[in-house]
Amino acid sequence: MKVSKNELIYVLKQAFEGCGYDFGACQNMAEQITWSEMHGLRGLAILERLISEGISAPSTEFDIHTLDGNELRFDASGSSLLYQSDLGLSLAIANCKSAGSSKLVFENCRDGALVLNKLSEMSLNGLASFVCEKEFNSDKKINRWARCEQLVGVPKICDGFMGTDKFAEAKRFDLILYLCSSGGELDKFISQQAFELELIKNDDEIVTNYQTSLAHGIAVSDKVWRCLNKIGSKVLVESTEASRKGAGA
Amino acid sequence: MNKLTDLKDVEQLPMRPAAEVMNLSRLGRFHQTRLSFMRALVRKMMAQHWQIHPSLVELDEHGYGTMVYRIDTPNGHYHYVLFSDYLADDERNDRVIAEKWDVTMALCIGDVSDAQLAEMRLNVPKQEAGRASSNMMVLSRGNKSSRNFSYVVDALANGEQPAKHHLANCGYLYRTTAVYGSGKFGMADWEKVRDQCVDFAAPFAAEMFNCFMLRHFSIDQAEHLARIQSPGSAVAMDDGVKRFIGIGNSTGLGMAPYLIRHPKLISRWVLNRESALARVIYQGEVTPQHLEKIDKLLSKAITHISETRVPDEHQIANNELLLSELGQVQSWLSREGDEQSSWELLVQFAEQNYSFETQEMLNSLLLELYPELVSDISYECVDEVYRLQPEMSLEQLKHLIEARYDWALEIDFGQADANHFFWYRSEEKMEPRLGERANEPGADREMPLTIARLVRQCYDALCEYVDQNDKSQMVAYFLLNDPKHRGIVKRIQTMSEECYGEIRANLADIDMLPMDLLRCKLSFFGVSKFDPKSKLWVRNTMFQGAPLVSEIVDRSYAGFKDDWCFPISCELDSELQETGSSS
Repeated sequence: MKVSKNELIYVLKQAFEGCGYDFGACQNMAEQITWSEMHGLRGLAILERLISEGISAPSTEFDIHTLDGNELRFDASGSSLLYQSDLGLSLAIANCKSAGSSKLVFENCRDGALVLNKLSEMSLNGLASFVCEKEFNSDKKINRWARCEQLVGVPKICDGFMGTDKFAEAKRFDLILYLCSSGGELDKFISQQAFELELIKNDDEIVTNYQTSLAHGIAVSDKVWRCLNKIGSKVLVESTEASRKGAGA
Repeated sequence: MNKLTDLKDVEQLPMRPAAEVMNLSRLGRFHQTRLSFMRALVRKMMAQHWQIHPSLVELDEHGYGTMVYRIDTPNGHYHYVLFSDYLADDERNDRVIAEKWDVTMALCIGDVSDAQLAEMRLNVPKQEAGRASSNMMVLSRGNKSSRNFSYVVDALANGEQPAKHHLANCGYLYRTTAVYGSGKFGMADWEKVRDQCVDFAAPFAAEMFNCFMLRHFSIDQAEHLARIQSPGSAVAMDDGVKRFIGIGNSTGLGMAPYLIRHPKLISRWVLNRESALARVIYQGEVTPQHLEKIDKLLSKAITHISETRVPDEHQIANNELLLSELGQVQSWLSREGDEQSSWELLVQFAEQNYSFETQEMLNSLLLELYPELVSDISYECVDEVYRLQPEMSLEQLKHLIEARYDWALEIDFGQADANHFFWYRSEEKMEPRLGERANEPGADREMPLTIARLVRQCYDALCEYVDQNDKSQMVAYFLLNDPKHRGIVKRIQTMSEECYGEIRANLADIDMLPMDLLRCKLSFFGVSKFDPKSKLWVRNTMFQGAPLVSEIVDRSYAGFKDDWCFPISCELDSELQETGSSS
């Protein structure tokens, strides 16, 4: 079935609320999934995997592993960045705003694609950003990265992040995010790193994906839709004679 | 009135501060203005002479079947698809929990193929239980005002025009009972409508147009049935009568959460209204012509309210007070008007002596006086996006709450009455409802609409955190420590950049009147003749007095004066005299 963006966000928010998340978290999480899906980054495939695992309760929080100057390290303990990553990102943004740059590492995490919508937000807030993933406990070549310039809004995302089934897999990564208030700083940071970046084949693709989703709707499997509505139904209150009196027109 | 808002860069003229305007009791007394969405839509349709013609007419002898209208504007074309079905009298129900209606309809972008029409035939009558497509902007339904509809059809079939007292009592043939847009049930998102359909890129423009088209259909259908009933003697409805027919609307609690969830949008709506008012009060020159015009407007409003018949005792008392006070305003103007160089003194006098109802009616009428002063004010599209400022210091956030949410901090949530109600979503159609905390189940699933309480909880947690930490620490650390406040902190920070927006009321309080929320939003739509059916839902009238489709499509029509607010039946008399018809 096809659903609208508003409809998907609404149903996701209600489902996360049904899992016990506070309304601020529900909004963030719903936006993360929707943004990723609409831009072709398989947000709903990630969600489907998370549903099959049982969506984590709100108690899942990251521990600050290291806080060294403007470098933050969080231990995600193998959990998805859907849960609570916004708090770490907020701290990185705050550090960058006060010091001009900051670095954030989520160790042992999954679903790095879900933080890419934040690059867009940061860009519109005047920050340039770069994010990459490397396999947890491995020095393999970096094959997933994204970069967003200041005030551009749409990140450039490498092919490794786009349209493969790998995102629905349960692999664990270290996600490294670098934020700064000038594009030159960002280039300097990237050039200092000891990894090669795979090229972007088509950086218009994510914009096209978004426009197509907006124009024609977002495809959601009936199974996932039913499941989200079922989880969300936990926030609904049974109808009684008294409650019917409280019904409006 | 001589209070300056503390917000800069908006208007140089003094506007009323948020503490005054965003008081829920005052918001609940707002009336339609020339800035209301219906008025703006009609102006646009008239200026551009939108072409609206039936492209499919398949109504049987009972008026049931399918009707499709094609709409052409300078920017594109659309189709309005309506299904009319049999509905037993005992199944007719205006409340959201109904499952069948007399008519169901949709407004579509571009063309509607035969295949899509067949698909719509299956889904549109189901409303919430069906699915819509991404080229649909609005999904809606309506019920006949049975008594009025039959009366009008019979009158026309008998070769007569409907009597004015019937239309004055109930100025519509159909009532809409829900109008959905913005991506509901798979329809086009607002973002798509805004970017791709410039004709409807204004708040609720597509929804208002949907109601306008139902009004048009209701007249078409009544004439169709009269012709079938008496082919030899039936007459067409006079244009004056048609103009006096509006469209009814029933609105309930579903509208209330929207106001709380869209504070940025509400802020812009109120800002437009307040800046327009400030321009009129401080820049509008008081001339004999303007004094004559305001006197006529007051008389018209008095007659309009007098003709508004409602059974609700509270509303009757409201209307009676309004009538009395508007008469006093007229007297004041006849005594003092010649001495005035601006409207400031009148507005001050009204603030000191009259009810909110009268003050806001007067404000609405003043906005009619100087179209040239407010014609450039339009409703910008606002993205309801909140931005967290994690770098803000704890001390700054604390001061921000104390300065902008002082009204929330003044509420004592330790009192039971302050927590009397809770808002929740019912499993029945997932509609919002209001429950009594002590007596009804579901308080554990309360919707986060009580902003004042969320602010209070955040503030208390913040104060406690500040006591134990450096007050110059950044907000991000506070949220990392206590994540549940992230939503309200984001809202507080975002709304600090807006003039208005937060409705200054405790929505859980025992004295809170949901009707005030409904009336506030309906005033921006531009409705009139509020007819409360309980504290939770209200009937009202839309587009009564508005131009007809035949006048909109006529490129040579020059009779439009944009003064169709507060329609009254004596205008109908003069229309009928002009056309030589009898009642």
